[in-house]
Amino acid sequence: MIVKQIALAIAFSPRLEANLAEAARLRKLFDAHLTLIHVGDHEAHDACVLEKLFEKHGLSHQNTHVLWKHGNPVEAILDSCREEEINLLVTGAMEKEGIITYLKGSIARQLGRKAQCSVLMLTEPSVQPHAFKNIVVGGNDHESKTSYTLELAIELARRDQAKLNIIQEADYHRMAQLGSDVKSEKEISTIKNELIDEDRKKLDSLLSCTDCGQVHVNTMNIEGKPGIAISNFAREHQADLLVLTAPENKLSLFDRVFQHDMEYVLAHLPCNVLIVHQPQFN
Amino acid sequence: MSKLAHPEMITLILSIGIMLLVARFLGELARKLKMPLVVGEIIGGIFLGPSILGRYYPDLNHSLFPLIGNVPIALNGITSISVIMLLFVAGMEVELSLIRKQGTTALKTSFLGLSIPMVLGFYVAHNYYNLFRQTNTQQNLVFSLFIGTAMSISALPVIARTLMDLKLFKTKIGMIIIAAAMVDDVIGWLMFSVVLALMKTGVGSYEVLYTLGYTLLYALLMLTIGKKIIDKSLPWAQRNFSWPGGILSIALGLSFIGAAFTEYIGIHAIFGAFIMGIAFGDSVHMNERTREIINQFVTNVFAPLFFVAIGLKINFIANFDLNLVILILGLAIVTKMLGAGLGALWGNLSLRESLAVGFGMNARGAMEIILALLALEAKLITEPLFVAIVIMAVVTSVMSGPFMQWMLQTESLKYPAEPEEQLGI
Repeated sequence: MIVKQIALAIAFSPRLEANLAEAARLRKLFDAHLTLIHVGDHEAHDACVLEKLFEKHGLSHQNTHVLWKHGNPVEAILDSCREEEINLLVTGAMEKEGIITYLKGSIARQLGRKAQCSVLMLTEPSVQPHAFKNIVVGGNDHESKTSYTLELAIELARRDQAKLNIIQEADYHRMAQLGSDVKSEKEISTIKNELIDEDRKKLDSLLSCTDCGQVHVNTMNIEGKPGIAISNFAREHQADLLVLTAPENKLSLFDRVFQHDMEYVLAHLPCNVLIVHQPQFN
Repeated sequence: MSKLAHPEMITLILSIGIMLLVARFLGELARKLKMPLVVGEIIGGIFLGPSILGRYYPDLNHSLFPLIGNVPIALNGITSISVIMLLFVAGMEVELSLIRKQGTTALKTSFLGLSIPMVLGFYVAHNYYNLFRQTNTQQNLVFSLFIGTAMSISALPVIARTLMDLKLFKTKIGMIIIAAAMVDDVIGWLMFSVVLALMKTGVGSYEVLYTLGYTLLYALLMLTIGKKIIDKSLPWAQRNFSWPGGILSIALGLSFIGAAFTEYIGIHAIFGAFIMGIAFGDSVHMNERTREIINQFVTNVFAPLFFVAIGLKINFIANFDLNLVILILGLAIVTKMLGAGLGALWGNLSLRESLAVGFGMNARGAMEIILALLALEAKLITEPLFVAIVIMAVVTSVMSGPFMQWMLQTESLKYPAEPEEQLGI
């Protein structure tokens, strides 16, 4: 099983129930354990609210428990994820943030940037959650990491019976132009097709090692700046989940100023976004 | 306002026409021989200039390309504009996100690939100044800095084309080389701008620090705030202006404004255009067709004029000095191979891969020639040294591909043949 331990970062906000309902659905989908992490005081009233929500969304103390933590919210949540050996951290997130919040980093974005486990950022959680129907996955080659991302996305698509689009994105045209001082359009087009073919072969070889089963997989190469291109694709094709491989290193302010591919996605989430890290714990 | 006389106007437009046609024919010939187009363009200039046409048909040479009067001034203006546009296009090729993605291996390769040639080049030039046939000993320090910079530059288009020919462009090693060459480009042009500024201000002056500060500030502002402004404005311009003319005007207009600004604050105009090119080319809203049109426009019209004009200015035969050519070529190859190779080794590549990186980064191409011409115009180097640098740029560019291929042949396990080839189909 790919996801055994799911965590949900909670705040007693209007979106609490919707976030909890989504996390409960995922817990059931993967038959996993759910940990709710709240950073703040343990108020009796809050505990009471949670008990009611547990009952409403089919959660029990056997499959779910709550951690009440203090301190810096981001650090406390990340520490808890490490301690609880979480595979998937779920958090609500705004689709877009103002420039100051973006540069400073909201809690959800900071979790997405710093977590060592996979992070699912929900943009429009619902109290009556639906299965994902249209999943878009980034298939760009990140060495061994991509195969795990594909594995997780395929597993999710299988369980939710969703359509899966695996997208490879690159500035193929720009790369083709780069290769010479002067080229004809035909030459540029030939080089571009060669670059796309190379990418396709890499993806085919990754997919040949993964059991796709009954999942309907569609692969595509799209032109554009990585991060932006897949984001636009997900938006235009009304995807309900975008799955991306986590960057090699934690993202910092530098990555927002000189934008990392992932930061283009985080700047304006096109839909729910799942950032996949290879599992740290067995 | 004074203007060109009627015969001068005819001479100017005739010379531009001949330059473009000769550059195209010889450029295409060079391409057929698997050499960079620039090689053909420079040879075109050598044919039309004092080296060949001037030697055998001096009257024809002087009537087509006069050395005095308004025509050379106008032609010089055109080549100055050409070099600004060339640097703008070179800047547009730099992809900041690619540099970031390749991380420490690319930075290590770039750091040593840049610093070792720079330090060794500086050391040799400073201590063996006479070997370079320089006469102005007062500029020893600035000259040594120039040689260091000239040794450190890498030609991105040549490297990219070589990697594509070898089907290595999208491999790990390919991306490392490209990213490292991009970093080298940015730092190399920054260094060169400082060297040119040093010539104006003098080495001991406080103005140097101001110039360096302004240079860094300009680069930082343009690549952060400037890039964001371009990012926000481009979609609006693409919606409201005619395509591609509108964007072409904005791109080139901004490149000239950037160039004028850096020239005003004491850095050379090329640096302003180069940084503006990075900011513009890295915009997420930059349409690929627009990029291609700008690229084609500059590389097919202005680049040939610039490179042919080099041959018109210099007598390559009279200024050919074999010892100097050997010195520059040897210094360039040894320092770059050592620097980039050690950098790649430091970045955990194998010895053969590192040597391949060294050969890849060794290509100097057109950028080196631009650098040398600017130094010649600034009277920092002599004509024999200029000729030696041009030859070095051509030789290193031509040798890059075959040597990389040779180095990577035994790395076949890492770079396997396509499945059909393996099966012998």
